[in-house]
Amino acid sequence: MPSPPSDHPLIRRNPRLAEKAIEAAIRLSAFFVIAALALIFIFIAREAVPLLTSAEVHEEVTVSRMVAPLPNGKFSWQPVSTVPKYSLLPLLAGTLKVTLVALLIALPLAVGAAIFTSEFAPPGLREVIKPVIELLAGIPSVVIGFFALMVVATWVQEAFGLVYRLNAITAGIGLSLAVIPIVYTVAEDALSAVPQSFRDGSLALGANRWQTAWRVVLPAAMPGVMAAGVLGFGRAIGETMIVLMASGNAAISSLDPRESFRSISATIAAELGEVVHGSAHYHVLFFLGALLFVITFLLNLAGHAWAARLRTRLEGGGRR
Amino acid sequence: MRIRTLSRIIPLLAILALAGCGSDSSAPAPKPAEGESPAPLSGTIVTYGRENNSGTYAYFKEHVLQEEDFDARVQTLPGTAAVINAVSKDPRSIGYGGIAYAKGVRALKVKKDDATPGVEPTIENVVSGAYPISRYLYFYAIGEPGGELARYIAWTVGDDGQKVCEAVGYYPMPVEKRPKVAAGSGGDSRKTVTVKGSDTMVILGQRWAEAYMEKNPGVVIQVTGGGSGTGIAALIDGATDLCQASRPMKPKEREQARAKRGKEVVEIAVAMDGLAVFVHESNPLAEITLARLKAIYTGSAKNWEDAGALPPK
Amino acid sequence: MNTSAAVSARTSKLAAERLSAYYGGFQALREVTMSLREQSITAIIGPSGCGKSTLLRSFNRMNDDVRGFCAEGRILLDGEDILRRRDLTSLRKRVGMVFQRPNPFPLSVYENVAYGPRIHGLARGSELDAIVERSLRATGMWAEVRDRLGASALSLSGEAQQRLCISRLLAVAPEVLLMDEPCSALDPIATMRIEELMQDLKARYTIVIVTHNMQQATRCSDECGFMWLGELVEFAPTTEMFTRPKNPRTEGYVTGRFG
Repeated sequence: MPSPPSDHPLIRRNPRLAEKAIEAAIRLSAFFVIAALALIFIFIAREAVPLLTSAEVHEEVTVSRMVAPLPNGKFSWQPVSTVPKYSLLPLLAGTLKVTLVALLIALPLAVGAAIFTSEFAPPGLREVIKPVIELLAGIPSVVIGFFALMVVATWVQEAFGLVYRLNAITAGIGLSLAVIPIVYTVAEDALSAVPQSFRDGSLALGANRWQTAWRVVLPAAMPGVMAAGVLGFGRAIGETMIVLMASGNAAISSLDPRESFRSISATIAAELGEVVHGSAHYHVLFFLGALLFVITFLLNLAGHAWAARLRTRLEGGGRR
Repeated sequence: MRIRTLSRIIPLLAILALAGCGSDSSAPAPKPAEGESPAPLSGTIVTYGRENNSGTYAYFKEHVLQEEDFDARVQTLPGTAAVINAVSKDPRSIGYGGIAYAKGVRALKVKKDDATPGVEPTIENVVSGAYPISRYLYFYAIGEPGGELARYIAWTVGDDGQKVCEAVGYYPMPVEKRPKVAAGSGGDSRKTVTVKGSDTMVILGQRWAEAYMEKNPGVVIQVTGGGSGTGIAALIDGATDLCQASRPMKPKEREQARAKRGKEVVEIAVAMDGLAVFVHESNPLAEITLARLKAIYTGSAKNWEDAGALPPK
Repeated sequence: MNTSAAVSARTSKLAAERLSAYYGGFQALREVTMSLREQSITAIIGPSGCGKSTLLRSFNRMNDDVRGFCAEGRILLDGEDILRRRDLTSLRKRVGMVFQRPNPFPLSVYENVAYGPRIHGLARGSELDAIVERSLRATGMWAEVRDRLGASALSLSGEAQQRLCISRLLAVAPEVLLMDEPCSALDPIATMRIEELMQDLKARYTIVIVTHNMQQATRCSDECGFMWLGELVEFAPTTEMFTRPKNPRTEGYVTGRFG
């Protein structure tokens, strides 16, 4: 007697086989992403390690000499010199300065725009605003850098009466153009994902839309909004082209946003192309890369931990 | 579809917008009234220079700063065009770069010292050697070149090659200084030559290669940029037959090449280039000594008031 | 339309007069006229899509934000037509709403209850603490949460969350409580407790409850309205409606022949 079709061993097994194959493929691609990340870090670290271990490199530079002031009491970045000088301080100050300026501009604007689109804009307008801001992410950073260099620099110099055309305000504005779409799109998604019932509950108590957005929707979306901020920070600290073009690249140890600066990422981009392979300068540049990687990684980690804590606090024991 | 079109249009709009803004924003500095002697400029000198990976940086550091470090405040920009652009918008700025680029800014006359007259950065003055900051552009090869490589080098420094050089906007070698390269018949029979190095020279190298290949069918000359340092590193590693460099090779690099390749590096000067010193068009300054230029770029002269009255070194 | 249930205007807290409502071209309410007495519970029953929620949401104008919604007729709150009103804040402060699914804000228990008084600027500091305590006591949850006022409201059980939502409402001292199937997300025991709470609250508030559940309507309401396709078919004291329905459609529904 023929068994019913579903009992046929091939038919019975194949769906499971297909399922397993798909699962394996997904697992494999996840593995590849992680492996690629690990390999990148290993590559950078391997090229950076000689700075810590190689006696040859130590003749020219050590990590402690990068951190401590130079014999003249100053900190300077002069890698191409009879006596090369590799102070970290000016680069760190520059990176910090421009990242802060960019985030100070981008975060309020992006989160504000996200609140507007998710809470106030009529649906028709929302359909326009969201893609347009997200399109901003598609503008190549070299174009933004050029815009900052040619146009923003002039505005900023005239508006603030500055001595230096290229400074952290100009570069920060340029950088914020790259950061805004990322923060906006993630924050907007987080705000839109807040259940309508929260808004209803607030409106039904007589709250207006502002109060609802500010006191209920934003707190409810806070973990997502923070994730947006962390992503924005990562983009700001790692962005190269805009900073390279609009910062002036002068390695000054100053936190004054009106002065030119030299960021870590721009330094790597400008100098790695022509550095002698295997030289002390080469290893220092990779060390900078590893440093940037570690800073971003730690910040992401901290951001995630913070968001997770916030989420637990919002949702209590995780019920519902 | 709509998004793709838009994403193409928006950068375009941005560029158009900045082209529009760029033209009218060239600094509103006061032009001195005719007949009067122009008022001396005052205030902080805004210094622009090139990235430390460029041959121009190395050359300026060696010949003008005499190997002293640049002031930390010198803003470095990617490319001479960017320097020119920045100077053209900044009445209190000064910059330097290849002579051929000087548009929309004023090139200063340069004096060796206070006793000598200022020299205009012109082709004649560069070729004659009267202009104080001019440099040679070089080819480097490992060992005495032979075969197609030798024939190519000999051609570039010959009349035909030097004409191409002039047409592209660089300065030919003065006839008496042209190196004699034997277009020897030795060497291997390879018909392909790879050339790598200075970004300053990449266009020149490509024009040379095109003209040479046209005359010598079957020969392939591949020219790429990357920078003088990259080219030298490639030469040492054996990744290129010929290196183009806008700065002389350092003793340390020659040593590396000797150690790795077992042969001496051969240097051939193939063209000349001058570095012009640019200021904003409204700047009343007409000429500058090398000593003052050095003081400005090392940071010992911070204001235009100082720059005018610097003691000659 | 049964008009015998019309109650004299003197005891009427909230009344609809010839209220019609539209979502774009769709008419959701057809000339509904009803009057809700003070200190009583009125249930509105009917099959899905009959307009009972629309009617309820009209009482504090929660439908205003729905695109294409419009209403005509009158809704009288203490004799004042609230459809003509501009200021929704004070209306909603007087006419509060409890939703189908408990929707406490993702804030602490305390902040949930304090939210209303804060936005209306009613109280601060110890005065606010007193309001929070009083509101939580009124729903019988003070003992349960007094030690964890700082805990997230979302960590509470479903029933406690719904109680919290009611406390949150009471904190702004409303006059009318609108309840939109407040027990549909709860289990039977929790439902029973919420119904007991409603009985307690009846002494001080006018309560309107929309429910699918006819047993619930019979258990807790004083008067009952049956809606069908946007019309108020019958409006009568609850016992009367469930024992001697006047309209055959009401009879069909309450005896379970359809719906």
